[in-house]
Amino acid sequence: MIVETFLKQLLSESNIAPDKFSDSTVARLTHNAKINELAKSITAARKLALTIFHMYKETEEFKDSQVILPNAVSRKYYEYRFDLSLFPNISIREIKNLDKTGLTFDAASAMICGIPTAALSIDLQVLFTSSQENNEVEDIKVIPFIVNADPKDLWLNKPSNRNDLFAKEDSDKYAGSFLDKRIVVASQRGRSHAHEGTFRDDHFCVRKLPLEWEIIAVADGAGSAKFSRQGSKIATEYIAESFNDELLLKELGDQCVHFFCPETIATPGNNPETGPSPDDLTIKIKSSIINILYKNVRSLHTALADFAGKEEIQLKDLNTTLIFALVKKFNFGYVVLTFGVGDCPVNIITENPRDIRLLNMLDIGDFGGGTRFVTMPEIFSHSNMASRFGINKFEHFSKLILMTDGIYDPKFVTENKLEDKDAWANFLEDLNGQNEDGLKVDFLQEEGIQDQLLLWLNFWSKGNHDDRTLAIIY
Amino acid sequence: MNRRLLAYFLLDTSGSMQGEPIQALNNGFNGLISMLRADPQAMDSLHISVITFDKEVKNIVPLTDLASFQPVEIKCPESGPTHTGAALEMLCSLAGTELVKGSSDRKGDWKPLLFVFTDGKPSDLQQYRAAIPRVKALDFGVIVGCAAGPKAEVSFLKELTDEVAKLDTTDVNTLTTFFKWVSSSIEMNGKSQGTGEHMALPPPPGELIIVV
Repeated sequence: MIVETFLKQLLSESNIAPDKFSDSTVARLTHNAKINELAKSITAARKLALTIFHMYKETEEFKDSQVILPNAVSRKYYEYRFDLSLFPNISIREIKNLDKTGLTFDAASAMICGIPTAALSIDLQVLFTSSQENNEVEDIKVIPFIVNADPKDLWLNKPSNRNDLFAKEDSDKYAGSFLDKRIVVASQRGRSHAHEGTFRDDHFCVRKLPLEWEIIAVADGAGSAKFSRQGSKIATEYIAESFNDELLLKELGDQCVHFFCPETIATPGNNPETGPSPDDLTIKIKSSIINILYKNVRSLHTALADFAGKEEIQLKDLNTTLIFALVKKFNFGYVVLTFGVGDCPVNIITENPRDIRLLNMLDIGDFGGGTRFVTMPEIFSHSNMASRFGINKFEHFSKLILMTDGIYDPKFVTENKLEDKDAWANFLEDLNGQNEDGLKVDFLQEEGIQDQLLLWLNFWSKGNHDDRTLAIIY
Repeated sequence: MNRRLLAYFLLDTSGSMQGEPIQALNNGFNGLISMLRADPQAMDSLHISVITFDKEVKNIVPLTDLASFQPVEIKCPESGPTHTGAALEMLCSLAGTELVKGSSDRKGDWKPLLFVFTDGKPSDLQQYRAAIPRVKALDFGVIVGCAAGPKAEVSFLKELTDEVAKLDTTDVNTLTTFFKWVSSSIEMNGKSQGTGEHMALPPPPGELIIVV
């Protein structure tokens, strides 16, 4: 039968038209040994040619197929297995250039694995064979392969230029007494600034004031502003100094006493029926307190504008956020007066470790980094100006915390976590040494606590390399 | 999830880019990616999306973080128009869904960046002009237009952005220099941006690029 088909196809390919002789000749030749042998070998040869064709075709298809090796990371274990299920006849023999990466290839499992030694970008030459029956063809497929650097290796630590205008130390720290408590503050230049050799833009200032008031101010200069390092310095130092005024603090203290103990208000000849109602009085006292604070913030703004004028720079070159807490212990408790513009929080943990409050309003832009600055004149005319001030009293508190976004971005992520009990519990645990580096800030030891805090500030967090400032009154 | 910096690249692959220009673009663009890989800030936050435009508009690389970014081969047809407008439309719909704005429980992305590279002018001018206000409404931190080669028209890019770089040629050296500058512009971003403030660009390199 095979022979008959073979002969008929041969005749047709040779343009020999069928006639009465051809049919009988074909019938006769189907039993001819020589023709039988020829037919078999030609069929076999054709089959072999086809096999070889498919083999080569598969290599072409494999070479063109998209094989994506996910990027590796330097010094991090890497594993990749080739999926050859679509190419049943292909096997990978070896991978040239792979030795340069520090990885190895196992042909039996078609797997690359190991720990890449260094960052590089390389074309891997994948040596493969396609084999069918006893035939084999060898070819090379080129696959690009990338080993990314470990991000930690990429950060440089360049010193800032000490001779530059408004030069600032790359870090600062402080520890001491604060009322009948202790305070520890540390401020560290962020990796993003260290990488470029630019300055720390954060600043803080702690000051003891007359009449047993004390103040802590923290500011975060805008990364986009040329001289924000100086803006944050002026903002904290000026605001602290502005309260170094006994008359002002006497007035402020009196108003606070009236506000929190209304019964102390002397009302000679006051007729309860015609005099102001207690609510009205409270509102009046509250606005007096806010007014005192407002005036100092306002004069800070003027001072910043004057400084910019004197230095012939633009006010926005000094862009900085500002938070402060002005605190005094009265016989009825701690009065904590706060102010904030920008995205830095002031938090208090009362004597109950689960009672955590955010004491200021935060300005969070639609986009990352979009915030408000004390250098912006529009904040003073905005209707929310009064809500930037906080007037609070706490009989006791265990910690009062001020931080810049360099801390809260990585540790709390979003503003609504700033009153989250679990987030705070984790944060305090973290300070207590529950972290990758086992670095602990020991609040029971006065000695060297500022160094511990400064070290702690070096924690690693992907994408968070801003300046970090953390102040804790405890 | 930390703050991302999204960078959209609109690359002209119209017929006129055939030959050396498309090769130079491939070299320059992949070189840019390699440069950025060495920048720790970019490695942390940069996400890249590549849209090519000729007769067709394709998002050849959907938004991918830099660490996972694979080398890409940008191809162009033998001839055909430059559908810049259609590319802007695709950009608007992509960026509109991809961009994360800050909320009380999620960090917002940094203001995104846009780079438009062309060696000609929009063939779909009406569509192009209609898309411009929509692009501007997306509030990019910076939009950089690049008019490369003798036939590139600066004026249409100027309708989209003030930041237009003009390259005299589309050879490998020029494009490499240009993409180096792009790299430093990206590195300059991802820094604290004030509300409504526009990002500054680094000074252009030497006499190769004239920012007009």
